[in-house]
Amino acid sequence: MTLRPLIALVCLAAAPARAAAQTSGSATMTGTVLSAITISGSDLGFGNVLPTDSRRVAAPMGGRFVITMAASAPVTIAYSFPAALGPGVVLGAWELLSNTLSDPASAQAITVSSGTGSFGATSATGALYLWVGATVTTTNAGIGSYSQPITLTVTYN
Amino acid sequence: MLRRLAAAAVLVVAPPAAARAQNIQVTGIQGVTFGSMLPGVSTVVSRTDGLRAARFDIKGAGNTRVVELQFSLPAALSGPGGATLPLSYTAGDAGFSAQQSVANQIGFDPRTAYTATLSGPGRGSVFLGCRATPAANQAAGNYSATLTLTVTYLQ
Repeated sequence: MTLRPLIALVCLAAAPARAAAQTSGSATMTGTVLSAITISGSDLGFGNVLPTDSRRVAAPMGGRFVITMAASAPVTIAYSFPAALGPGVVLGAWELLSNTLSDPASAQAITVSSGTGSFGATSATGALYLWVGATVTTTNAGIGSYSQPITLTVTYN
Repeated sequence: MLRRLAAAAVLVVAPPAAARAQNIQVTGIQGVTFGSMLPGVSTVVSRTDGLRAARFDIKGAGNTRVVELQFSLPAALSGPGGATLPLSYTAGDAGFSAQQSVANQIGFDPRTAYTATLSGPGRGSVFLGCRATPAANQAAGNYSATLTLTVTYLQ
């Protein structure tokens, strides 16, 4: 009788673990908050004018605006100048100067072709100075005081 | 003839789960980039914005393709002097693309886990957008936060 060898076959199969495998990745979210823009200004005054007259106030002696904003951030400055202060009191020949220094003598002249417009600006220091001048022309204007607002709107680009 | 005993022991060892885990890679390509923000003005970044949305690339094994995606979402960006800038997320702010294309995403809610199927080679990309809401008196300066995506093999 032949003794058949025992063939032992042992299979050890480590069953694949069903436990979940996981890994993670990260990234950085970023943003920069700019400084809020501020504008302060002083009036453009023509003083006393006769009922029929013309008087120019040059920009360096006119209204002055100071703008503070984020340094080196480009902005758009929109302006709106009134066409008249009242009946027979017409405004025109607007002048506008811009400088990053509080010095009208070295300021850049901004071309103003109409009562409304805009231009771009930037300031390494975050400060910007504007000077506004104009010519008032009266024609049989009534006696009294006249005023109208000048509006500047500054927005980050 | 006496045959010699032949004993064979076959050990078939399957890769343990830990070894399989090494086959998953999640790479943060970029975070959400809000750029310049103004105090008091919310900034929204869309998940379809290829330049500003966050992107994670997944590289997995080709034979195990169903995964669970779970974000760890920061509630705020941190800034100068300990200032915080709130972030918010909505249902469609995240997107998954088996084609790894920002233009071909399936949107999902990043606030909850999402089950996705990787491509045949085991690839996929996850995108995220969100909203930042600076306060009116938000301190100026640079802000940042860490965004984490965890990918878990399900099968």
